[in-house]
Order: sequence, then C-alpha cells, then structure tokens
Amino acid sequence: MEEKDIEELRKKSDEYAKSKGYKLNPNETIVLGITKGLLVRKENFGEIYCPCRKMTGNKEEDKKIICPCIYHEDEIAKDGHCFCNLFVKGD
Amino acid sequence: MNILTDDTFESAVKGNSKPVLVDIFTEWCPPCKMLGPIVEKLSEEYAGKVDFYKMDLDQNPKTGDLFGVDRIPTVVLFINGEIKDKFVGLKQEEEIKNWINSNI
Repeated sequence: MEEKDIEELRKKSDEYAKSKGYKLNPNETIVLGITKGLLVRKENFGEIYCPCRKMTGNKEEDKKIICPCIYHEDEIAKDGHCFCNLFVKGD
Repeated sequence: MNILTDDTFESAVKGNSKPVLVDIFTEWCPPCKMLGPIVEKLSEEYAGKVDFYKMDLDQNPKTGDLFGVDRIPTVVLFINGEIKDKFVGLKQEEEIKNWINSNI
C-alpha cells in the first residue's frame, strides 16, 4: 500500500462526503485507519469493501458494502455517522 | 485475552460453565481497534467471573456465521454455552460493564 493510494482514496472520500453534505470524521486516526482498511480489502478482494462489515464471498451481495455502502445514508440520518465512522453528519 | 478460533469455539464456549464474552474483530476495523483495549481491561476486572476471548472474523468465518455476524466489532455473551445477548459497534467501558452485569 503506497502513500499516494492512501491520499488519493482519502481525497475521494472527502469529495464524496462534501457532495452529500457530510464530512469525514474529524478524528484523523480513524479516517486513516479506515482508508488503510479499505485499501487492504481492495488488495485482497478487488474492491474497497467496508472493513467494518463481514464479506460474504458472494460478489453480488458484497457489492452492497463497497464504500460508500448502501447503508450509510440511513445510518448517518439515524446515528449521525456511518457504522464504520468514516462519514459523519455535516454542520 | 485468549484467542478463539473456529477450531476452539466448541470447547471454549459450549463446554464452559462460566459466562463467556467473545469480542469479534478484524485487523483493519478502526472501531474494533478502539474497543479492543476496553474489553482487554474488562477481562482483568471480571477475571474468574467471566471468560473473555477475542476472535478475528476474517480468519474464522465459520464461527461468525453461526452468530449471524455481519458487522464488526460484535461482542457476544454466552451463558451455559448459549447466546444470552450481543451488541454491535463501539461502546464505552461503563456501558459494557452495565451490559455484562445485567446479563450475568
């Protein structure tokens, strides 16, 4: 995993968050940890599957947990953050 | 804290007369990393009363499937080898203590 890959994915996540009126978690350690977790799963399984969710091994089913997953909007609306804590509610 | 695997689950949990708490995590899950030291601390506090284990879900998917684990961290409490309760996600120390105390 290269530094530029981490930075690139972090930037993409940040742009996505802004486009939806969310923010990245202000805790940089968490953002970095999740970003690395996503990249490890990409290296191992081919996609940036959420590191906080179990993979089923069924590609169709696992599409649901490619970040940003299908659950994050409901979770942010309900809890103020996605389950993995990458995206949080905007100001 | 003891490590639980697909191979040791039966003997560690099913055959245990004491309550058993299992912290299910994966290496690259940040909330798991934050929960880990809290559970570790509680394992010392509850020594002799509750047996604490941790299990890497990526390495032990069979046992994870048994409990229907789809998100991590998941913490499962067993009494007499049966699931008494479980919670999903990061919780603070006091919340976990209250949860354990209300279940044992």
